Amino acid sequence: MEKTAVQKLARVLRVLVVITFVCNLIALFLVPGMAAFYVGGGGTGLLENNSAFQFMRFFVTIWHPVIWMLGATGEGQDWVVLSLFLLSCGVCTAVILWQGKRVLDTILKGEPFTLRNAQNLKRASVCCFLISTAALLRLAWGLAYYQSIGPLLTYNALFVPIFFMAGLLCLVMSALFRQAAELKEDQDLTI
Amino acid sequence: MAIMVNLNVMMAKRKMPLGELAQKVDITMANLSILKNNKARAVRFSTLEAICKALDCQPGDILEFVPDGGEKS
Repeated sequence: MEKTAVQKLARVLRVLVVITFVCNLIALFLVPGMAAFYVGGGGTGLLENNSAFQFMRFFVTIWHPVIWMLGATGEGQDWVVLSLFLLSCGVCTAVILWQGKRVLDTILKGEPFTLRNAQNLKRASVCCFLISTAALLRLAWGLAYYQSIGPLLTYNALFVPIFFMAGLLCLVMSALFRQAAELKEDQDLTI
Repeated sequence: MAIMVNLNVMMAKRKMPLGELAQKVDITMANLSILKNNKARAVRFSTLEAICKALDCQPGDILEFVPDGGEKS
């Protein structure tokens, strides 16, 4: 059966979502190392003076629990907080992307109006709210740690309302899909 | 649901199997089975008309209202 225009678009979107999901997983692995570069002031010395192997070893070693404990109890608290924040956001965005892929799969099959899609969108909304909460907690921590209003002027502050609105949108879509599934069932059971 | 479909009774009276009725009414056996087993949510008048014509009966012969919690007569 020939695919409709929407299904062709869904196929392209699915490819993009899968690519983004894979990049998300790779970025998750690199988060603590990149956060260390950011907090430590760029890390250009490490890039220039070491081989690719040492570079990769750095990204693997920084996952060691002892380094995290030392950071949390010593002067690396901002690195620990940033890494935890980015890791939690990264896990949530991976879940959101996976739910999006599942919705696109049903569109490709030609059966989008199901209760399962309503559940997928509800999961995505929960993840959006978690990101918003994490951003709010990091904002509060930043205000207390730096004793200034500087954190209010960063991208982190924008995450709070943006992901809260995204969560609300996903909840609305979830309710819409649930209603559509019920209407479809009524239609299917009308003889 | 409060509306019960008594297709079995009329089909037995007219000695008509499910397949033959489905063919005369022009719906699938699966859909007719859904109707017969009271799983349907709604019935179109066109379908009801076709069933009554095929079984030579009135709608009241195949549809029965059973109040919630009441026993089937």
